[in-house]
Amino acid sequence: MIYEQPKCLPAGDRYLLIEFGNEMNLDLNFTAQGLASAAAEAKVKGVIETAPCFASLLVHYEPTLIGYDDVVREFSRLLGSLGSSDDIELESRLFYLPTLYLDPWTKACVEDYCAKIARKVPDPELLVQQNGLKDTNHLVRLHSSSEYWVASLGFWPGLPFLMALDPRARLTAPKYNPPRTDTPEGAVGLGGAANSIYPVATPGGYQIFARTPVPIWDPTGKRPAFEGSLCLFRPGDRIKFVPVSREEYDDAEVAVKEGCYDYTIVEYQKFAVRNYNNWVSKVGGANNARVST
Amino acid sequence: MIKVLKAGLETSIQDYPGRIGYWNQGFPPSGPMDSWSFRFANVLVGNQPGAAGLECQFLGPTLFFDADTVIAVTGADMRPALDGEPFPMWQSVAVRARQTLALGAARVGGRAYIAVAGGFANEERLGSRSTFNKAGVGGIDGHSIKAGQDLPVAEGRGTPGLLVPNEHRPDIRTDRTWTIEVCAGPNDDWIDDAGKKRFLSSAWTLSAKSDRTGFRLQGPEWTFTEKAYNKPKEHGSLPSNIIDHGYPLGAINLAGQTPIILVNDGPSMGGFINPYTVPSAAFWKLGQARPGEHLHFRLVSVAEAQRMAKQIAERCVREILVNA
Amino acid sequence: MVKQVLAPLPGLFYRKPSPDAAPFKQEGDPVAAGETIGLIEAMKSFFPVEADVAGTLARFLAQDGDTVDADQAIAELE
Repeated sequence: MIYEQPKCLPAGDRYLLIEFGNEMNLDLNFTAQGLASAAAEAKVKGVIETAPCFASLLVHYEPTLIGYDDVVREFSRLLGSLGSSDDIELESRLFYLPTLYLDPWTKACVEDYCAKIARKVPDPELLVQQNGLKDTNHLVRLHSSSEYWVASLGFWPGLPFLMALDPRARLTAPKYNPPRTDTPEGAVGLGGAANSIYPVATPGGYQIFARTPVPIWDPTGKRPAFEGSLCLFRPGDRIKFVPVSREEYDDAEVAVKEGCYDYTIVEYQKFAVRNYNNWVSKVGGANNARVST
Repeated sequence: MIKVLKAGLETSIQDYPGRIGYWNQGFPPSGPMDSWSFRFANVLVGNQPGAAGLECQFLGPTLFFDADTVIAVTGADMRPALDGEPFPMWQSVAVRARQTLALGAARVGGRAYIAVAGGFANEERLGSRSTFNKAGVGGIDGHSIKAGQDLPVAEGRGTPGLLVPNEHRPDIRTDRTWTIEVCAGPNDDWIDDAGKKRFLSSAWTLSAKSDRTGFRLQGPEWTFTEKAYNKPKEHGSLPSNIIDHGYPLGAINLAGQTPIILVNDGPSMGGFINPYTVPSAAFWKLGQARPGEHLHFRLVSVAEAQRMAKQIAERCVREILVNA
Repeated sequence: MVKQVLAPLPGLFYRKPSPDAAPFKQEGDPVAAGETIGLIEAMKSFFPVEADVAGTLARFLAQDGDTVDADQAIAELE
């Protein structure tokens, strides 16, 4: 359900949570990101930061500078100025990430899990079964065909929650039960309807089937592509996984180690929700931006 | 320079309010858990209240000073001593070059703070010197201090012999029982009336499986409203599951049946509800509570929570200090 | 002569290395200097409680799972 009126919920003395609905729906994330970007532009006194998520926006404010009621009023006003979610246009960088699908490292990780923790269908084969695909090559073609939308970052600093923008490439998968105790750094995974990339080796629950050699997290903060941050991505960015050969993967890995890897980033595009929705209806995406899980 | 002889238990450099503005990339603020004691330690040695100092947890460090300076120790009673000679907490003390400062185990409270005139001068990361130990960000090399490290200190001038009067210090409990303020929301409407009543009337035990990312509580069962069961399946299968959303700092995060208070190094988002939120003014109590102690929760309004935070901030200033 | 073993820090005291394991020591067991007689849990970590002198473990003053303070007597050695 999409709420007629967004719900403003108090959260302690310094936060406000705004819920736009209670379903996974790209339109709700566009609204959350549109509001976040409008708030950043408006520089409302006392508003410290916002964090968009799938269907909500968390607002962090300084109560000695602005009261709770005024934060609610300001955000309702900003939301009104956004108009319908169709009118939202967002700055959106596009990252091309070299990706080795069906790589040996995620394969070894799954085999290790099967040997030590629980037997399961290997992750790529499970995705093929669950989504009615022909074979793992079909999985690779389909997964790499879409751009992915960075809906939010969390769980670990810089870890992106991604949603496929092309409705034809929307895959779903159950999560690991019990979770893995380890995941290779750079592994690409899918759980529920969300995709992600593991910034560092961590425990995890998503089905894994590919790996990128380029860092998306850099605690030294010195790589130019990170623009002073320690994380490569921001909400509202887009990612395209580019299938590469093992040789290209190794070359990129060497370049990363030697500090001369050049990220491919397109920075001159805006994401227009209306254009996107028109395109989705043209390619035959059922139910517009609705994501089934 | 200050040399670390013994590190203590995850002793870390923190500043206040910490790493602010990166919540949407998944960075917590870090910073001191008891910012009341922390700010006073800085004010005592002539620093800005938020300057970088050390947070000592349960077991303090041993530090060697290579130059004359002024320090102050506040917060939990860790019986600080200079060259074996005990000295009082909550007051500024002169340290001579080549003296050794040793803190012991916490006798009362959980966290002590050491401020040095000038403050620590480790490199800033995303605008803060605070340590986010789990991800290896800030502090020295990203982590809590280690024996053998040299901690850089900025130039500063402190005055020894200043004291925080008793009535302006936080009241660190010795009876193992704490009353912690909470605000209702954001997801209090997922809990039924009986569940709310149980939460506010029970004694919750602080688990030893608690650290700067989260404080785990043991107590009675939670019961839910219709909303927790009757929801689209993308929320998840447990009653406390919700579509991933942003977490406020201080959220009482209900992971299944276990409430976890998300504190300074906690996660920015996730898929569990947060029926209540501990406001910033009550964080010092969490910082001083110890495993096995009992927490009672008292409901306050957002406005009252904001007033309490303001009162603490107004106290942590130089004008409050008196001569020892 | 009776010697007390003190808790090195506040936390929860355990006599066993894990819930299913046997206790480190029973009353009446010999204890060497530096030997672990129990654990204290705080901040998701376990810290050994070590005897600083050798002797015989006369009795435990804290029970498995007790909340203890720093310097609280955990056991007596004879």
